[in-house]
Amino acid sequence: MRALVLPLRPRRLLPRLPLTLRVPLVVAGLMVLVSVAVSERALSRFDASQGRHFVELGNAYLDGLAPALAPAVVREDPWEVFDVLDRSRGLYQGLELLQTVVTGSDGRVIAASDPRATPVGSAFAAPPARPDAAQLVARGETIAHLRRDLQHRGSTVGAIHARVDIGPLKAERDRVLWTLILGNAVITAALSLLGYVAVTRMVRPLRTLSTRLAAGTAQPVPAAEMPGDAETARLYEGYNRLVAALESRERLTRRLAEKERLAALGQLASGMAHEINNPLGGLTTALDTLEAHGDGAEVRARTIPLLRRGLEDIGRVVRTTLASHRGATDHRPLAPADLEDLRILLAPELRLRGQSLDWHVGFEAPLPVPAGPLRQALLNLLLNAAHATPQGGRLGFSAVPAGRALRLSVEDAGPGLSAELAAYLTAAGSGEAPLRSGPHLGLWLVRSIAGEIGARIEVARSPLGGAQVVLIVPMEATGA
Amino acid sequence: MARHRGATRRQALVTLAGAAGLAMPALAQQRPFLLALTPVLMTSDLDLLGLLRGYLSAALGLPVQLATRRSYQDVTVLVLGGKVDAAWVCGYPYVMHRDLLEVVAVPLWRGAPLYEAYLIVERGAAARDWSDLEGDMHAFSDPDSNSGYLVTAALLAQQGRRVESFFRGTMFTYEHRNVVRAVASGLAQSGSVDGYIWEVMAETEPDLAEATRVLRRSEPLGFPPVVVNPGMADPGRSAALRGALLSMAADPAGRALLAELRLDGFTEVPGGHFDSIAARATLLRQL
Repeated sequence: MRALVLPLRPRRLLPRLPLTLRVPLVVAGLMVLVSVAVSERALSRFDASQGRHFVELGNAYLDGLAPALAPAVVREDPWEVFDVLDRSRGLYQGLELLQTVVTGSDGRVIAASDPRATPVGSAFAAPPARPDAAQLVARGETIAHLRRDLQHRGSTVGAIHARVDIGPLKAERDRVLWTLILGNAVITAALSLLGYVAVTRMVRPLRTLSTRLAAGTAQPVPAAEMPGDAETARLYEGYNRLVAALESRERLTRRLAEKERLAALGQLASGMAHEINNPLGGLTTALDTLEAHGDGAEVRARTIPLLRRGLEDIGRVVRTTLASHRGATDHRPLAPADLEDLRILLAPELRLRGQSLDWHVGFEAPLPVPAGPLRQALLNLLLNAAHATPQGGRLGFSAVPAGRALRLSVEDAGPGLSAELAAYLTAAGSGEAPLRSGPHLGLWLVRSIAGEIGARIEVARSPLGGAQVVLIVPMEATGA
Repeated sequence: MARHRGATRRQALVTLAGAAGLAMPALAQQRPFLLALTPVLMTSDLDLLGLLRGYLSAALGLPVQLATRRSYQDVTVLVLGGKVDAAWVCGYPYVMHRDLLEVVAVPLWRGAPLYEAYLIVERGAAARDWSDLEGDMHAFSDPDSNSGYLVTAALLAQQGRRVESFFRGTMFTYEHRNVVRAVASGLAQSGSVDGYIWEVMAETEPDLAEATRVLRRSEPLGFPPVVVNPGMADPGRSAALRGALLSMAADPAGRALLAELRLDGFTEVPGGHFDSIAARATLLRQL
């Protein structure tokens, strides 16, 4: 029974996209995550390496200068200091020196590589020390300050201050960053495309199946279309077996339903036989009376209407039975008399159970709704209601036009419909046939008929204590 | 010691040659001719030194060694001490030791054994006169240089000023070319430089020379001479050197060397040729 109610689809992150897009998107998302992580690692390694290289180069520059400068600083010889700075300028490729200033022990400038900017003898304000030169580039700085104290025979005689343009390092870092971004973007795009192509190929069998399923009627995949690869072939074979099983189940269900209908009719027929038999005794007596005393006008006048009524009763029972047996093929407009037939058909059953039926038909002229299918559906509902209602209980029936629809309601005093059955009845579509006879099969028929004639089913709690099943039949939907 | 050893070896060789009775040229087997050079020339130019050594070797018939020293004083000490056969020195050290040194020959520049001392400033500097240089950082070439120190110091002395107080600071670059570099770079705002060197640089390194401007030219002064110490030098060698220098312009290799030096040749000069330098030296000594 659980299978009757289709489980709701779980909410998805990418709800409406087909698999062929979802997989590439997931691939792209994962690639972006991976490349962000990898790039971050690569860049921080690059930063460390670049910073180390820069510090080493800076140290090499300062170490190279220091011994040459120290004696000149001791002598406070501006020319020699300048000459050393000037000659070393081109020696350190990769170190973009903006300015190198050499100060004496008093902090005054002895000479600078650009003497115009920093004249000899001027006071030099040393920039604050940068503790971590290796991280300068990563921090987005464009200028680094290096400092080295000049030692001569154990005492500090001055200092070298170098201002270095690390813009090129930053540019190099930016190039690496963009290379990473572009490279990863290309790889991501390529993998996503690959994912798209691969998934498109992979889901092709599924698409074939879904196309067949979407067509409404499940059709097996013909042998000519069987693919070469074993996996898909197994899927198709499985699908074909499923289609075959569904077909056989459908056939079985129809046979069961027919049997059920015949059984119900048989049950009704026995009741009707009783109905026919009841007047038969009276009729026979009346005939006997006519035969014996038919000469008397008074007797004839009393007996013939009695005979007529009895025969009419029998005729009505027979007609009703025939009409019911004609079944769902009868698409005449529904007349109150059709509903009256149902009441007659149901009467013996009710009598047997000592049940009463509140009957209300709110129209007189035939309405443009198909009589045959509705009679069948209502008969099923009424029989179900009678079965559900305990001995001596009450049933309700009403047929009232409501706007452009006919509202047919059947109520009982039974235990009510289970939530599953209620959901099954009210769900749209033909639904899956239950593989069980009994009331479920009746409900399946009701739902099938409602589906065929475009009617809607509502299930509610009846004031009588049991279930109320309402068929709302659009009047345009007669098909007649 | 070196000289002692050298002399001993020479005596031994002479003895050997005499004993063998060989008629080989007497100088051929002797010690090399030593010539000391101050940075009065473009000493950084090794090609130039090669040409000079090549010419002198051929002209003297001797291997020639060139001794370059950083300061004029070092060179002066070498020649005064007889450690070299001859030296190419500035006029200032010569006049300071005129009693001990003898001029062998003086180069001819632009037809005369004369040159000028320049006061240079940065090209864009506003200075119009030497007095505008007060408070400058000033670059000298060498404390023993005529054009690179003496002329400027004497100029100030004539006005009753002293180098130390007139300028904010001074520096010695020990090479005339470096004076030009110091001024061109802005390290010094003005400099005292050899006019001959500046003119040659204007031709060979115009970018550097033209970053400076000549503010003042001195009157013509005696060009740095080649000198010997007659008290210690071999007269024969000195005479040979004089001959080699005076005949340089007549020799193709000599002319190539002169062309490199932008000189016309060498000449002998009368005794008073360096008197104006001597007068400046005296003035400065009296200060």
